[in-house]
Amino acid sequence: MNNRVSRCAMFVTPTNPRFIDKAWTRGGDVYILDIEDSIAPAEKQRCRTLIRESIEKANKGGASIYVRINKPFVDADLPYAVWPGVDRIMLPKTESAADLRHAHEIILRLEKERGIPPNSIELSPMIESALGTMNIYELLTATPRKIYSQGGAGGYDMSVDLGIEMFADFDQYTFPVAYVALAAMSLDIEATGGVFIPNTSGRVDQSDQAAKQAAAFHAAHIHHAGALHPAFIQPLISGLTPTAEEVAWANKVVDAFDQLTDAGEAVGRLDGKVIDKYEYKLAKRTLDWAAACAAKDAYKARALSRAQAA
Amino acid sequence: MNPRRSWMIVPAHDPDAVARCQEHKPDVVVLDLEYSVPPKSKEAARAGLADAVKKLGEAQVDAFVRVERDTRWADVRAAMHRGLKGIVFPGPDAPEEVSDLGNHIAAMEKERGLDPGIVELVLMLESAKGFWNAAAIAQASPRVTALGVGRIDLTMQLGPLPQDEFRLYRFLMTRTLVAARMLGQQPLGALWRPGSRGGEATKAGTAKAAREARLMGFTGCVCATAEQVAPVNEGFAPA
Repeated sequence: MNNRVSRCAMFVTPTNPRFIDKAWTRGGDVYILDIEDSIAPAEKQRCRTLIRESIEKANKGGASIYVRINKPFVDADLPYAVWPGVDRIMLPKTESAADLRHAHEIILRLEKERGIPPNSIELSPMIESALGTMNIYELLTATPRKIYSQGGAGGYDMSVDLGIEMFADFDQYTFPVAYVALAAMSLDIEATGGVFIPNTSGRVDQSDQAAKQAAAFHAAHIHHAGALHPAFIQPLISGLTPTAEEVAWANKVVDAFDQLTDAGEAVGRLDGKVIDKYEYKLAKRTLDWAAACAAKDAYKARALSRAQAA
Repeated sequence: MNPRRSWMIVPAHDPDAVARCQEHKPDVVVLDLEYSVPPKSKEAARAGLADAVKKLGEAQVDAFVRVERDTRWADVRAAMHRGLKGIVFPGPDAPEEVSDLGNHIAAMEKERGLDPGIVELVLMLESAKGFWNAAAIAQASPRVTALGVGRIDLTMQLGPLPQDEFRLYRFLMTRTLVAARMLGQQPLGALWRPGSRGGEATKAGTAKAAREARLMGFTGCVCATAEQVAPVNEGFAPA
């Protein structure tokens, strides 16, 4: 439901009751149940067995649910990760088309066994290495499953693989970010990531950083962001939702362009600004995104009041 | 060959603009059948091309015609007259589109009695598909003499970044530059910034965009308005 709206996808650890039990009260669009980096090796098996019950806990507030599995344990993780209620599987450190096909085939088998419509669970290859970056096009076209391209925008693993210091005050991911984004855009695949915000603090829990990030993403027309800390949820959600002023302007642009078209014109002016087919498309996109956000927020509000009443 | 720094867009349906375009001293005149022509004036624009191309050709002006992607077959047909230097094709997505258009131009050269291969093809990349395939697209026809960056902030909806640049813009410019240089084609583009681009750009903003593009390796760009010709010529002049 409203899965395309993920203004804030927040990682939670199923093994920590403090996080998983409260997640639904925090208003995230998406919770990512993590079996990967936030889970110690000795805890992996216990974490796997907690995924199924964690889905129902984390989605009580209307959030979508993703599961992040481990690159070395794809075969072992997926039988614990593919359940009704899971919207997307995140596949870290994806490097090749073969990686993606392997995961896709296991998911397909599990979907059939568990009464989930085939190919309904999305797959998100996370690009976190040099090899994954260079293979991006072939891996995005490797399966018939709906794909979201994720990564290339820095992160710990990418930085380690490339030998980059990630807490620097300048953008050193320009090539991998752009290369991955261009491949995804050329295939009409939605991609996350893309705007570099300097962060030399070494910390990921500062909510003023979240507001800054949201403003930069919003300006750049990027709708999706991830979070490691709950303090990021509200700033990201409000910052990535079109404002009332933006919606009002978009409506004016659409009306003005419709009038232009009726008059046989292609370019006009509105309040001193150029109105043309490009502005029209952008305005339509703003309205479409605003409607999707409103639907998601309404869905979450209904789910939340049901959960609170229970 | 004369330098081709400024490629001035001239709405082909506007006889006055066409008649006076040389006053601004553009290196190249681009008679437009695309963005600057309202749908209701498209036929008039096409009808005026034979005369405009002939006159510009006689005046030794490099005259190109920018076609519209969706109507490019009929637009090329309307443009192919003696005096035409080339066709500007905005927004190619795939190599086959370029080779097909090249073949269409060849057929028209024959039909109109023009020398085979005389009409150039200039490609302005405007889509993610086009940029992904840039090198293959640019070598899909031997007629291609220039490869450019179109109004990608608009066509690809690339929003501004905190550092006053459009998202992905430098990468896409450089990708275009490498493909063009590899093939011996002219790289066209300017480092337009949010708030100073297209018809909105100030003279100073235009000069800066051109100067920065020259430093990046580009040698010319499209001028959306006549006022941009002088700052573009200046910006692309060697220091």
